[in-house]
Amino acid sequence: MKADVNILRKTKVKRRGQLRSIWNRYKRNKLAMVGLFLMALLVFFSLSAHFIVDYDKAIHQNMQERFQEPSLKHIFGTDQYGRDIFARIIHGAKISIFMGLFNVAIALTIGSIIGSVAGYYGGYIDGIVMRIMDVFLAIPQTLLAISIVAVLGQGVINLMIALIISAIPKFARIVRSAILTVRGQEYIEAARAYGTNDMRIIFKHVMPNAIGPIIVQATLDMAFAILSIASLSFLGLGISPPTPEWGSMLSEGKTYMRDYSYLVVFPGIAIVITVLALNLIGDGLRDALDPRLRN
Amino acid sequence: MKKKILEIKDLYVEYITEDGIVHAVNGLNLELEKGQTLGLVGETGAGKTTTVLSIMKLLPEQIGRITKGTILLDGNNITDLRETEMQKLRGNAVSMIFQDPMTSLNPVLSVGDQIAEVLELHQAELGKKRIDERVDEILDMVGLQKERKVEYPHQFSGGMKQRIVIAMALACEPKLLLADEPTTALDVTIQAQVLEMMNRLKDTFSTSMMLITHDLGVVAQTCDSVAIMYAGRVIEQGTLKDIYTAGRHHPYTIGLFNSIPDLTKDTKRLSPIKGLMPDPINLPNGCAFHPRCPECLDVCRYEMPEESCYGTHKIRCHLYK
Repeated sequence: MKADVNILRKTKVKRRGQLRSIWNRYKRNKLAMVGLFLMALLVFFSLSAHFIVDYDKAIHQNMQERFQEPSLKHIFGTDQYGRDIFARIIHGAKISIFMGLFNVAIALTIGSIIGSVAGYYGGYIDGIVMRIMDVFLAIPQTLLAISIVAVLGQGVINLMIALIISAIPKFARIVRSAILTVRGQEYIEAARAYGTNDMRIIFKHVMPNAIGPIIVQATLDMAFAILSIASLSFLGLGISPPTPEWGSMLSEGKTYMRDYSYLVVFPGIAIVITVLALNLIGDGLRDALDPRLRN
Repeated sequence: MKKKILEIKDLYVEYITEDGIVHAVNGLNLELEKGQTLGLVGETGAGKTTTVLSIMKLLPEQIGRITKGTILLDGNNITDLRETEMQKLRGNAVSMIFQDPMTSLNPVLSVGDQIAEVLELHQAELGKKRIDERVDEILDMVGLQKERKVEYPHQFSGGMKQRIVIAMALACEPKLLLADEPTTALDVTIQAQVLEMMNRLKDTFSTSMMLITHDLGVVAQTCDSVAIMYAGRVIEQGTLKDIYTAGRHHPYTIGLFNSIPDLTKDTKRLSPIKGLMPDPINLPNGCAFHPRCPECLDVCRYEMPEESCYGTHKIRCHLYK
């Protein structure tokens, strides 16, 4: 009986072995853990924003309290309309982080499918698909997003669509090149030799081997998406005021930067921390996902 | 008469390259009886690997193609099978062992998962638990501890990796095993172990095997019959006895045996066959071996010799008629 229990316990550990060993390897990277901690903090703040500071404080104009320096009452100070900057940053985190995540998740999925099909099958499919992607890549990403928003009209969802469409070609291209380098390996041929079908080869054999550069691109692109949301908001095509958003806070504060530097310093720090955390996580994940680097 | 597991009749394979059409296999005939081992011997570029890839139907797409001939696997013609039907056969009825175990295992999947995958593909009805047990059994059979199945390929030595590759190839107990130089990348002591194990497992599963090698010693140790290939054709075939002891041989075979160092004689140099394998884009007329043949006759230069049979022993040479 005792032996049975032991066997059961063992198989359970084995089944979760893959995820666990990735986590073990990730844990060993101190910087990556710092990144994860920062990201967790940001996610925590954005999720519990409503409990920490009232949303009203972030959008309600109060002319008597404009341009207040950081103090106990307003720890990050107030802006030109007397809105609490701390409240605006916390509520803005929600928009920046979740729009960034969502944008990358969808663009990555669609881009990966396009890129892996093009890279794996090659030939005409590759030619046609990648030339279409090249057309998109020929237009600067921000300009493309602006034109899409201009056509679709302003709004959060349209902004997302614009950002996703403009990010897909980058992912498609990077996934394709990663797959091309893996496709020629002998273990892919070996996988075919024991009867694996194409879809399974792409997702089980090729993708995990090609994931490194893709993960790094994804984290970088999330940072880029957050900045894009900011710049589009600045142009009046993104998040419309008075919704708090880091990018628009930056651009609004720019006018008063000389006299009231904290107007741009705090949202700037928020963006830097988010982008840094994402980059550290991306780096750590890339190493953790490769079992060859285990030791 | 014994049943044949593999019959190749008049097979032609071409590769289309920028320099022209490469005639890799030109009218190949091969037979393999159930439970037997056939050694396929020849120089680099003789078309051995191409033959194996044609049986698996894994010739490089858009470049390589079978232009003529039939391949019968266990009596069924697989030449015109569609890709989805071939996928059911690969790994199940016919399996392949690749030359280099260092590169033929996926570095990011644990070895247990890789062996389990073959079973999941072809015997999904077993269920997860049974597949798991089966992986343990197979690892045990190739002489690896089952605790190590959670480890990754880079944590194993070369010989162990080849054992894993063999475990994957035999997981579904295929009827035919194609081994493309399975021991070339291993050192001699490990070679012997791996060959011994393959022979044993072959008997356990009553699998037939086609062994590709340059090594006539390996052939003598493991094979029942031998086919010697040159420029995409079998130039001599027969039982082990026919090839190693009979009096008549193709000049190429004699050359091959002469290039093995003899332990009893003290020679400074090996005596290889002079010249190089002909360019497969531009094969010579007549017998492809004639430019290098020490016994070349006039007729060899323009006429392809027919096969002369002496019981099980077949030689394709004008010297024997």
